[in-house]
Amino acid sequence: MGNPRLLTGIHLMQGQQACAEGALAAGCNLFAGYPISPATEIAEAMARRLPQAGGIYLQGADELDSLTIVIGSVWGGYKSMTATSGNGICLMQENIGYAAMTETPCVIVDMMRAGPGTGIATKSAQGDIYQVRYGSNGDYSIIALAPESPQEMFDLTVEAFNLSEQYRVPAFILGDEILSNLRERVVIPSEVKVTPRRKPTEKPGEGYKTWAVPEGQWVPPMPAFGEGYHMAVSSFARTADGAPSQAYDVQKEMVGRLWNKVEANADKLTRVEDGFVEDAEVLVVGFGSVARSVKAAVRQARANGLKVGFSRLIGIWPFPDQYVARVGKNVKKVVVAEMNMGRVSREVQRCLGRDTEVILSSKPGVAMHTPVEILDQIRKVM
Amino acid sequence: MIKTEEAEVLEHPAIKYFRFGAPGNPHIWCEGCGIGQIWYYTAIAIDELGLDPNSVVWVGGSGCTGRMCTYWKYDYMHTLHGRPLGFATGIKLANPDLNVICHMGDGETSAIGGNHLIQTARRNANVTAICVNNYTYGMTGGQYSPTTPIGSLSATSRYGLVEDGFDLCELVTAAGATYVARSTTTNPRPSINFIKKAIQKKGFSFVEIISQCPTFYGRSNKLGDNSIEMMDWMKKTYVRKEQFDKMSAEERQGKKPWGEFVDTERPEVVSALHQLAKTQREAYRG
Amino acid sequence: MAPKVKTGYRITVNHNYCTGCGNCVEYCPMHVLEKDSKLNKRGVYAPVTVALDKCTGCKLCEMYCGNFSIAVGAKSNADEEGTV
Repeated sequence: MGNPRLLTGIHLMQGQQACAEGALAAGCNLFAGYPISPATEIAEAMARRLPQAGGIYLQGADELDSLTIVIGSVWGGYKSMTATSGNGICLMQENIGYAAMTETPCVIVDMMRAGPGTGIATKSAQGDIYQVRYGSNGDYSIIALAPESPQEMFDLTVEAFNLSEQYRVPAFILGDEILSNLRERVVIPSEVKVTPRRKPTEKPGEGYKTWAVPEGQWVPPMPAFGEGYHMAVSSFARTADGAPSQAYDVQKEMVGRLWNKVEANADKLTRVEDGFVEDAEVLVVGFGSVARSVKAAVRQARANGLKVGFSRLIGIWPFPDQYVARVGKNVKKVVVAEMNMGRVSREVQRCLGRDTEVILSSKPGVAMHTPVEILDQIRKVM
Repeated sequence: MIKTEEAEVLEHPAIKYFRFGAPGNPHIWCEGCGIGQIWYYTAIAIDELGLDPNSVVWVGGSGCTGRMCTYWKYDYMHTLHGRPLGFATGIKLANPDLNVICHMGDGETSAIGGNHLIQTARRNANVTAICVNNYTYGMTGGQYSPTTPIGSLSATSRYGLVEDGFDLCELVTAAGATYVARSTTTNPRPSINFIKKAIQKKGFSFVEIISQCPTFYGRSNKLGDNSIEMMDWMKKTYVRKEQFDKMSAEERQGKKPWGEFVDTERPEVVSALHQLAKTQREAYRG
Repeated sequence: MAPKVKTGYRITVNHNYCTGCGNCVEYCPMHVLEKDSKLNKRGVYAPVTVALDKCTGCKLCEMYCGNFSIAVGAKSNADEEGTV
């Protein structure tokens, strides 16, 4: 009898299914979600598979309900996840802010679809880049990873769970509809590295400061309710012992830590795949499904003698500022191919300044870039 | 006449459960507010039941009532406006051994929290909801809420409210709650007893406690700018259910019942989901 | 000589917390309390006992106190000598 959490082997698997399997492998105990295209099948997979692993599926009354249940369960000791699309993320924003403020580890999968508004439920886009990072009020930080294949839907979901535990932030998977329905080879290994929740070293009892950070670390340890630590959990600005505060010094320190615990570690969190960048005159940047066309186009261009390189961003947030500055330093032009009206292209421009020309290759949804379209764009700029 | 200002002051029994350090002296609620009373009813219920306070999690939302949890010495979760019941369901699912108690104001329960209220009742999740109903949004300055009676004056109904309010107990009964009771701050002992039953009940239990807000609702509606006057009004308006049932339609004018309305059994979602997990895990054959 | 026994109750008020709302005075069924005629150091008319011997220890004053200021305890032997 196998381990229900780890279907070790080689599978032909749909992207959404692979995401669910990644969550199980990472130790997810609870999924609460609401049906929404193109993420519904993640909920369906979790409803079927989580009980087999001794876990809980509860269908939220809506996206807000779903994320409140996820966050509450994490404080009860669970690892939990939800999955939705762009319009569901809109509804979740207050809860995302709550999770960021209370440093609640959780995974939120966003299978992006054409927008704005209700958009086109069953067609792809990549329009939620800023929404997952800046959608809630005030200053906080999150982590977001963009898979390009069902294999990465598995791998990066595991990674998201682990990073969210390490940094105590909501971690997003930025997928899209193409990936939702794509079926490809997925290899599930016999062992998966899982980051456990970090508990305090001191014994429970009165006087434990819920938000006190050990020397040299970025985040406090995280006991669960019922373990005797008198936890004061609130999204009010607060001092180390959890008491609400209106003082400037408290706000400055608290917000600074919530922001910098991820942003100051952007280098450690940089995840990219690149090729042919050493002597590139033109760099093509992409992420998610579009990156596959980018890679195909760049390889073809190289075969035709063009000095072009590619950079696939896997970690979108924190944005890999230093990497982009380094790899874009010696190129004349950067093409950013994305299924929106310009998001990552703006970040790339920000990193490179005015000396480098950043050209946006935009397709705002429904159809993804083909390798030929990108190749034409490359030829045009060279 | 014996003065009570002594060198040695006895500690009020709520103090042993009270968290110091949060704003206030000892808390932020106005003179004459009923919330402090209800805080004590909850603490005394936990005490009389002999529960380990480390196993009790208080969950709150926003507003004056939302702050109740921030004074609980043990574990608390101060959540988002209207949403304590969602978070509470999550906490209970992750650790069914915890006693999860939500304190929510009337607006929290029935306006922004309306959907969480009826869903939690429908699911019959094993958490306790205590609704402090003072017919107002106190923290923000006394605006009307979905329980405020028609004709009431408030910060946002200066000409008299043209909408009528929910009967929360009827709403929650229709949604499927298995223990539903209403009391008032003029009935401390029944309030404490209802809360005790609610905590022990295996299912969604809802206790509505009518409370006085002399600062806003009382003053605006000439029901008293102090607790005693408002409590007089409460005593006249709220009549024991057994009495109310026997009253004619004419006698019922201007009166509302209090008491235990529902005490029944229905499948409960937290235990059902854990049972499902156990069954499926055991049946798994790879 | 008759043994000393505990008799009656004592009631104390925490003047740091009392807001002078008067609930305890109003709802004591035995009318043990009245509002002081003088303001206390906090500036409120705090309760004082006028009929402590009538106190039955029902603790309704504690239940009606929204500020956790009034408390009822058993009178210790040191306070009063007497027989029952």
